[in-house]
Amino acid sequence: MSSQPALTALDPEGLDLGAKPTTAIGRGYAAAWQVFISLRVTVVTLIVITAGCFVGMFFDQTKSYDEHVQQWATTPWKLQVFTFLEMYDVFASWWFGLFVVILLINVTACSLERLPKIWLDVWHPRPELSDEQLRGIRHSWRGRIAEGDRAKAEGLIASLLGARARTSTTGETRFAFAEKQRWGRFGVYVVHLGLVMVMVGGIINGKTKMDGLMMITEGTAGRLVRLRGPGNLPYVVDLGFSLRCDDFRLKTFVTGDVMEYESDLSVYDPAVPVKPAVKKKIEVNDPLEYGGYTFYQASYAPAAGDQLVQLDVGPRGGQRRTHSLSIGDKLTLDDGSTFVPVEVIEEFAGLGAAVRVQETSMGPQGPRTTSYVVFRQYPDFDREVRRGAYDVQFRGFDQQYATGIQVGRVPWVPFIFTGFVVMFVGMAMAFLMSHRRYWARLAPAGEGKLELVIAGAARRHQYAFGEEFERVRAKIVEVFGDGERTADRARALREQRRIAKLGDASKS
Amino acid sequence: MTSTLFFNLCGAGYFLGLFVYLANLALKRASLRRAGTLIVGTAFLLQIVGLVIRWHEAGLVELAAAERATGLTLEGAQRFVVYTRHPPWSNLYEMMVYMAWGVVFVFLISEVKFRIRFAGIFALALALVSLGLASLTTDAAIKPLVPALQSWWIMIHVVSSAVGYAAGTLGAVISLLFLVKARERVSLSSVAAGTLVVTMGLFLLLGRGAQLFTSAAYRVKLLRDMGDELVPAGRMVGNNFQPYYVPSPGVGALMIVTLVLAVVAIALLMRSRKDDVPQGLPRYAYFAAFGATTATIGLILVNAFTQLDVKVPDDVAAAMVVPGPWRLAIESAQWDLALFSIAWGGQLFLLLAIIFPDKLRTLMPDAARLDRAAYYSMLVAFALVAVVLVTGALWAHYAWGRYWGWDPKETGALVIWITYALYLHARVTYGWVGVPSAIIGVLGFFIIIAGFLGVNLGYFADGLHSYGSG
Repeated sequence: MSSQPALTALDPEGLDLGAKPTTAIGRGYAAAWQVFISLRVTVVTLIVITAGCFVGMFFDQTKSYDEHVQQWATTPWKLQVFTFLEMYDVFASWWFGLFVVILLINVTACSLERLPKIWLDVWHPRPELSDEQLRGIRHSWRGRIAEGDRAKAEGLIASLLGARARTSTTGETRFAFAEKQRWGRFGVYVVHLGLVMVMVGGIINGKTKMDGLMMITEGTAGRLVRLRGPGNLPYVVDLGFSLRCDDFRLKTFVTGDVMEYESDLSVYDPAVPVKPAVKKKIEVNDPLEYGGYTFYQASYAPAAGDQLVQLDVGPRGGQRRTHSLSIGDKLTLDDGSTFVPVEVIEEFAGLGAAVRVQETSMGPQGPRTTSYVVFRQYPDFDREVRRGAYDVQFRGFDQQYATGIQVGRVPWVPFIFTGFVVMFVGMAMAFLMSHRRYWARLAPAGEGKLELVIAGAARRHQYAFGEEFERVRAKIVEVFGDGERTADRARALREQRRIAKLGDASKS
Repeated sequence: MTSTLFFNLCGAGYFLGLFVYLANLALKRASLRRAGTLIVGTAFLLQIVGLVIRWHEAGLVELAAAERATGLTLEGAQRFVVYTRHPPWSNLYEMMVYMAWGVVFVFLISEVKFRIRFAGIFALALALVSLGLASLTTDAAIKPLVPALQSWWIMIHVVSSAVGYAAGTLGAVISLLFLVKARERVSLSSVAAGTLVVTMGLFLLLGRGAQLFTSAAYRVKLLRDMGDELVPAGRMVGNNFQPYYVPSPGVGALMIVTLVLAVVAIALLMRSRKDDVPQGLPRYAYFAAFGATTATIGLILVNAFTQLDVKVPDDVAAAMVVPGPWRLAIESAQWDLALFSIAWGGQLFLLLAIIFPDKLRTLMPDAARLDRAAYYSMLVAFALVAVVLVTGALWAHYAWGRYWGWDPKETGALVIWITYALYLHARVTYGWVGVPSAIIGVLGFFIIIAGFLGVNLGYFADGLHSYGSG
């Protein structure tokens, strides 16, 4: 077997690089290796992973185990299957992980198995075309030319194969060999390397990453991150520093649809003397990075608790200022007058939202307390109807928000993104480049004749290469005519198989 | 809107082009060939103009909304950013229009490169289905972009997804053509059986499998005609609107008949799969299955136009959000109908192939060219879906804080990518050139539908990509 030469010019599969293992462990290892380099395993693994993906698409993976069980597990066996296959968290399940690891090993093993052969073939080509090699090549021109045309033939070879062709002479036979885009042969392995990087990074990230949520009410700080663990069970992690939301702004369109929202964040880190350590305005698509964590604006929610009432207060006919007050808060002006919103009336006798205000101001007979209602829909009501010393307008509610911050720590992201780049480089190499080889041979054929052979082979884009070689052939035909009828590939292959069979038969 | 007008014109152009292509097949005139290319090319350009106009219209909407919300007048670079940030592929309506564009775009390229005009009939038919679905979706109006989509990533991410999926679709079409053409590798009997298997799969999946058999009912959405638009009837369950489904009269029973006939036909066809053109019993069984499929789809359509006042139980009626009268319409099951029609189209093609095997095959490009064209389509699809995945991961990293979260839509794209990876590996390493790879290629189309549209249409769990629904 080891003495059998490569079957075709570009198929080095016939090469046997190692000897057969003799020990039991060696044989077991070899058998396992055969499994892992098997493409059947690849196909089965990809199908299982696809099935897992469909399960994950079908069962909402953000719901908890209990929610799914209520909905799907209507019989005991369904519950068992559901639980055994961890269909509520399928992408973190044992079997999905197992097949991802199998795929990883498979891709690595396949590449390691095939790469040395390709490497050998790419960097150690056989520049001297043999008849045996020629049989495996589909595109060739072969013909006899007169001895006197030697210079013409050599000129033709030089022009066809280019200046970078390697030439050699064995006896009276002259050989020339040229190749293009040999790096294209490694494209597939570069893609696989990128994929392995992405998968390894992904697996490590899966174990070390953090992907949690903080809800911080405006004006307060937080240092605990809520996360979801296996089975979507919640747990909490302490950041070690606190994050304060100074302000949250929500902009809406007139229709009430959200246009954009942003938060002013500041970081208070006990380890850093500067207070605050960092300040930044974050918005969707523009996060804050601090301490290895990234804080993304993810959502928002109206804060529970105090609803603030916005009152515009000012001397009658004069400048008013806006104050945000919670119910029961006292607003004291410079002259000692106080205003307290005592009650919110959502619907006041068909006039809309209203606030009852209790005002205490200095009258001619000392402090005097009055209570009246101001309406949101009728801002001029107070000035025109009550006609007090102060104008009070109810502008609306100042809703307090809690900003929803996604806290992420994905330490291997640069590695994974490098993997993406590697993958695209590999794809460009594999799909756009095509390793092409040209051989030429000029040998004496007796009777004052020379035999000229020009052959070409490509690894990829066979059709395009066929057209390319037709152009080459046309140039040769222009000079030396049609040449001999070349044996068609089918016949050559039949011959090859016959020889291989004979070889096997003689061995056994 | 002007853009809609252009899209309608373009749809008319594709329709006309389809007829000219068909006429050219029958008559083989150079004038018809040129006219076909001219018409489709013009319609394609009209669609580009329409997309540009829609981009402009969306830009105006964005500017108006932003200026009203902030109270500022935008100028200079800021104005430009807001004006251009809403490309015409940001909701389902626009995506369907854009997919139609993608399919024709990829077809025109392959037409130039591989001379496979024959595939044009299918590409144009699919583009028309896509445009038709677009016109039936309710979100044709331009609304300001939601915050999550206000990013430059949307350009490359969505552009490559549309072109990539279009390339995959064209690859599937060419694979089907290959299966019909490659007489010495696969018989028409087997391919005909294959179309029936696909139809059965769709009927079972979209007819909700077990439910179809237990209640003999195929359920569609109930709608209320509000004059200018059709609103689904339904009730509120908690904070979620749940549409109400009613059996489309007679369709369930007809579907079961179709399934039974299809099973019989598949069995007979596979028993005589050595015969290229089925003769005798298998042939008539196929005709019967085709007839039943046609009747099923026909009845869904008839019901859509005749069931104008559907009665529901009183307790259900009381809980409905919108009051009656309720009716059925195309919109009751537009996506199902589109998929059924595509499967039916495949069956029709095979029917014609069975009746006129030699005529049809001589009209088709040779098998090697088809195989090669399919392979390159899949290669492009594979590379572009990789672009979709990677740009999606980068975008998700910057917007949501995780590059990959197994969101249904992400998973869908991954499944599509794995399918094409399987296709390429099967070809290169198993040497599954020809029939096996063509079968994967055809099935790839349905994987695209599941991964790309299935999530938006609610066949799978909701995810973060919910702004694509509608």
